[in-house]
Amino acid sequence: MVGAGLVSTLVLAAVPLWAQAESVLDHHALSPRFTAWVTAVAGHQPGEPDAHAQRSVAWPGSDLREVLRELDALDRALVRTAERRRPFRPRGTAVDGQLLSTRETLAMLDLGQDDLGRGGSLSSLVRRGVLLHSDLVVFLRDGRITAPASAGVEERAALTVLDGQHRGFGRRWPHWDMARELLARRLHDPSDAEIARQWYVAVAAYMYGQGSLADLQPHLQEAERHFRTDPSVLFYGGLLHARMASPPLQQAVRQATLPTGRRPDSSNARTHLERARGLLVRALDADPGMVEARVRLGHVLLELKEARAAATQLRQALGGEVDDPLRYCAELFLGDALASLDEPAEARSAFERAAALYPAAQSPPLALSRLARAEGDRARAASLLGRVLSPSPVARRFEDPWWTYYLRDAGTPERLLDAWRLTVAARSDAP
Amino acid sequence: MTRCAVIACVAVLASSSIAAGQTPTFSTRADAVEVDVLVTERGRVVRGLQASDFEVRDGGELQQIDLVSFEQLPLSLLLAFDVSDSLDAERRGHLRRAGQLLLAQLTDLDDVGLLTFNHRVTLGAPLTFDRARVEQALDLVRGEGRTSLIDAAYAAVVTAESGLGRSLLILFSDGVDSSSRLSPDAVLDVAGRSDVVVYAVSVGRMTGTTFLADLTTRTGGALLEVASNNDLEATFLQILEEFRQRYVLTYTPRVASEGGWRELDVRVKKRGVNVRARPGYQSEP
Repeated sequence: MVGAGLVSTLVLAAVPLWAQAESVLDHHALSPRFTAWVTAVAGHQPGEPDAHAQRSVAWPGSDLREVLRELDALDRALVRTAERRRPFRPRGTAVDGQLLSTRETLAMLDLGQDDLGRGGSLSSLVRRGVLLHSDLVVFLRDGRITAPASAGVEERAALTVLDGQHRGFGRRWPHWDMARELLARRLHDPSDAEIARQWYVAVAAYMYGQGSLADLQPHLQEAERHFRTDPSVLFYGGLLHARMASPPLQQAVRQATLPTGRRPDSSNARTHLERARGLLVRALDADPGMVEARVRLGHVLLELKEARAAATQLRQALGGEVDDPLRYCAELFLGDALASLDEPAEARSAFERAAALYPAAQSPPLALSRLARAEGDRARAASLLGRVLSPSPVARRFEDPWWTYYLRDAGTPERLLDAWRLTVAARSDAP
Repeated sequence: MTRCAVIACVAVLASSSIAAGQTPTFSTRADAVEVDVLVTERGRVVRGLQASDFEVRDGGELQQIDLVSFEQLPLSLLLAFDVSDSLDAERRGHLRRAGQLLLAQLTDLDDVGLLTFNHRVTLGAPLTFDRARVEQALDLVRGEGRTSLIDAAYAAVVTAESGLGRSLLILFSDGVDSSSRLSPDAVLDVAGRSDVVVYAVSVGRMTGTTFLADLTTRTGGALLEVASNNDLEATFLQILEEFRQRYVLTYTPRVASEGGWRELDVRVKKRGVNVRARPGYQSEP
């Protein structure tokens, strides 16, 4: 398309300028696929599973890649227009059998008449595209939209793990990839770069909270490429690797083989723990006030059998503002570290502080019982257990915050996503 | 492997050894050691052995065996069942029936209890002579949640060793831990210091984790990986029968202990037999 335009320009060198402009740009037609995408992007109400979202959810990755190519071509055409100070008038295009006027097409692209002289920018379209594709994944996950069984299935497979066992393969969707690709086209603009950063962080929190680790890995790889010193990006990277090192995931990964015949992840627990350590240390270097990162680092160090370093980090974290579930876990980890440093009295105190926070939780009495048993006090060991082993009259699934430590929402993803949507909306409305 | 318990104080008759069927006698010495031993030959339990048939080396030192007991001692049986998400209705039914069959095989001198675990460890029925209570607890078994196998193993060992008889723990699990807080090494250490014999049962072959194999080895028991749920009842009964056919050797160490881990080596003089006993015990100074 670009080559044809250039040839046409050369051939028509003798023709009056206004005619030349029209001839060049007449070649830039919008395909029905691209037009459909733009229609959905422009029409979608952020956060709402509307008709535009419903129609868009099943688009396969191949179609979306074509949309990106057209978007890039359109962007280059706009840039050329700006360079030559020529008006941009894309040929009218057909939508649902009706030929749109140029003005309507421009409106769909969110380009005003003024943009023509400047060459315009597709930034608003791109941002709204990120909104749409991010929303699509959220709607699919929470069931507000259901995609046809045969649609939107990626060739890559994600491992489904339940209770440490490989239970099958899930579907992955192209929408996160599409959103990342769109954002990548705006990173040169500082204000859009900040929108992109916020998006990466909000979506990382969302993916982690959902347990979408197969999505989170490439997501964070890209995030780190663009924002390598951002403490939140580093923090989620640390969380991811710490979780990949956890026994249930390690067990499931060892059992599974992907349809390609390869193993889903060949790194062992220690490798993941070392990566987690590196990322969390960098996060804390960038933001020493990240208390949760410090607790997580303490746990990682404990898993690496570096008890003294773990105790140092955990004590420092406990001196700051920590919510109760995280404080509870930090005291448990500190108790374990002190026990392995042969400081049973201090360990006991840490476990007792944890028990005081959540009296119904089993982990502290188990730990205290184990300490007593290791000291040869069988009676006390049995007595401590007796308090917590009786059947619970009410099924309290989360009475022990340790049970949800790896699943804990780090950063309340819904709040982050909502805040990001508002930021994008405000940016889009700005002149 | 050898089951072993340091007896702090036992007050009965003194004797050198007994044959199967006679009244057991025990040493009055405060530091006597009990060793739980299974002897098999070509898969069959060897019966009728006397003290003179055994050799026990404690820390490398050959010991004088005071007593050999067989079959007469009451049991303390604790069942520990994994009731996490992986427990479907079919398996639940087999476990329930296996538990009921075991209860029917117990004598009036045996006490029994039920511990279940998913992410939460629950003592459905503490060790009791009340069979009905345990049956009721078996009926309440449901499958949901994650798996705190290591925590449960610890709780089960501590609970089982509080029983009145010889402690047998039968632990059923698929072996995958997803939510325990205690470390495997810490729990294996506790198990090694206790006098509980652990038999573990799983359906299918365990991969990626050796915890149950290590636990059973450390306590002188065995890990049984059955092919299907249909094999559970027979396997549980086999465990009980095998446990009842273990010898309990009692001896008083020749050399006073300074405390710490003592390695045990138990052999039978007869050739061609297999001896399973605990590899050692934790001695108090």
